[in-house]
Amino acid sequence: MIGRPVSAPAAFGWNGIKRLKESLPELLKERKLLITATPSGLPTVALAVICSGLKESKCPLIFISIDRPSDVMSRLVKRHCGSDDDVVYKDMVCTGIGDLQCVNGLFAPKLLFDAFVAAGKSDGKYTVVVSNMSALSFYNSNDRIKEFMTALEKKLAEGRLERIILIMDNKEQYIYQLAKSFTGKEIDVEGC
Amino acid sequence: MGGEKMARIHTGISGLDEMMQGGFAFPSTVLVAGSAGTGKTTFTLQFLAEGAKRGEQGLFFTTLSEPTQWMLRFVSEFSFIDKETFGRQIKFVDLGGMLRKKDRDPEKLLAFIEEQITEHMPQRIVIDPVSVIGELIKDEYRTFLFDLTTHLKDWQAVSILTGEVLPSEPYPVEISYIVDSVIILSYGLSPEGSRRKYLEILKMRGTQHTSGQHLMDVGKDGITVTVGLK
Repeated sequence: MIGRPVSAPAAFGWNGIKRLKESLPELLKERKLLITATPSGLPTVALAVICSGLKESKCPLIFISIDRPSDVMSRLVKRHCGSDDDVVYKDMVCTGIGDLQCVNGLFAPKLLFDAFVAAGKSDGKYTVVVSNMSALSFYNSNDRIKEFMTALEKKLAEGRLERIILIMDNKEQYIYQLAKSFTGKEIDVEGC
Repeated sequence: MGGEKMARIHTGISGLDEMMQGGFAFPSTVLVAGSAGTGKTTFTLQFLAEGAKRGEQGLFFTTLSEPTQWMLRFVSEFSFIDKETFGRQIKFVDLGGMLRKKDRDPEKLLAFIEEQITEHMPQRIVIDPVSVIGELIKDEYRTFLFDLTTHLKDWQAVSILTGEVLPSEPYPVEISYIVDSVIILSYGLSPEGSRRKYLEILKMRGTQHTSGQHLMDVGKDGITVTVGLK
């Protein structure tokens, strides 16, 4: 458990993210990792994971952003970590009126496939980072979410993914429990 | 209502969270509207101070209401103000310089706001007051507002825009359509005939909220809302 217990509430966030950053080189040796944080802390955690991942990991990253445009994260990575040449971004957002993906479903089962298409090849050795996982529940049934997780697991088992990192809050119990059982290793970052 | 799944953050305003399922939906955009002296700036600073207390970052953009130091000087006596957080967890950015320029460019202004957000990564953002920008960029204001709120919604933050209105108008209509929530601060006469301040949640998407005007006091501890008192 990272970031607990700390007595002063204001110190929660800074201690939590600081300790997460210190621990990431070691944590990134895990093939499956679940990082939970408060909703307001998710971008900071995602940024720390990407920056550390770029530094420590030999393979490129696919960053999947649920319901936020990924260019927000791209700007953050460029600003705070330097180059993001080794990151492929894929988001699950509606781009505008007439966006068929939104009409038909901006949805979990297709997400991983889309991410690989965005990455330009389907057999690359990538670290996949999924940010704001619990937001999937706004748009998907539990079955669809499970389908997405199963697809992730399959890719990892086939050796087509190097590592999977799920970042989420734990408000949505179904996804949280699913992610927990999938990864086996959970890091809880208090604050932001 | 999606209240159960929706993440929420505490406002820091005593009595307000209870009116709206525990706090502002996160992320979301909020308009706090009111005429002069109704407590808009106090509201937003109390909101940022609450975030700082919880280890969050806050970004306060001032437009042309008054220079930052004067605003801070007048609020410095509130008990919720922790000056240690100024310039650290709460950062102040003055947009006045850009707005005063004759060749002011809404796109540049938007880019500057985004740059500041990217730099500081706030969970709480305030633009106080946004309505001043409308007076300066006139024809382009609607487009600017649309672009601004779209960008703010993309960001993982709760953004409060304050809107100045005349005592005769409740809120700036053009902003109310594009934000997720509208809170009105106003004056009115109590049943005993004395002038009192009131708070009303007019709109709050995805939230079951208390309706009607509720008595609002501004004291040493900042704003307190008493639900049910008229």
